[in-house]
Amino acid sequence: MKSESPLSPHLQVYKWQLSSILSITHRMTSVFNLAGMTFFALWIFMLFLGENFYNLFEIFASTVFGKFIFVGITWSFSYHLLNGIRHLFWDMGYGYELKIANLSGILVLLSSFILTFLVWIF
Amino acid sequence: MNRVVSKWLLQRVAAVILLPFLVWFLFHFDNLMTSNYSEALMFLSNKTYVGILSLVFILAFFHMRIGMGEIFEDYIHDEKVKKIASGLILLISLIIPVAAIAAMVILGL
Repeated sequence: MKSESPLSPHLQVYKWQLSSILSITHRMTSVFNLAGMTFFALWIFMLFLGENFYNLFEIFASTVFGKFIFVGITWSFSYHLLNGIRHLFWDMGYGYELKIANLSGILVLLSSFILTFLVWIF
Repeated sequence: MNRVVSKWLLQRVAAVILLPFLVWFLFHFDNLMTSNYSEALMFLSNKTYVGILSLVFILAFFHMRIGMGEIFEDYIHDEKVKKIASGLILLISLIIPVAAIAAMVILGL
């Protein structure tokens, strides 16, 4: 049976603005987070398989690419978590005014970098 | 309650419970990724930590499965493809948490 539900706006024809960029980023980070959690599960499996396998992980962790992945995962979780709080406020009916929505968006974006920084210095 | 509404609500409930545990996870994630074999084993020998990590796995993958379903609703138009994608995500959301938790529990024994 064909679905009667309306389609979402296709990204290619959507006018770029802060709200849409942040919204798309929320969805993109959700997919990165899935990859991040899977990556963390892999870390557990390497540990489970023993020291020889864990050494392979340590080699990866010592590379610049490895560090980039770690920081990337941290930022992706930070952003999704903080923007998720923004979504929860919307769900309760607050923060829809254009000015406030833009302000909270900028706040979320800045805070996601600050949280990532805090995680890595502590 | 309508099925879609209860799904919507459950996803938010999972997110709210997950919030503090995810912050805890993030502040340990960087240490774990840079720890050596014995340090990593030491961390997982703590039953409270394993308990929190298990909760994070269960809640995150539960939240993720509903969220992915929403993305599929928006962007996959073929009902058959949508069913297959949803089935795959369901499988992933069960296998990864169960395998990760089992591995942590066995390591901690």
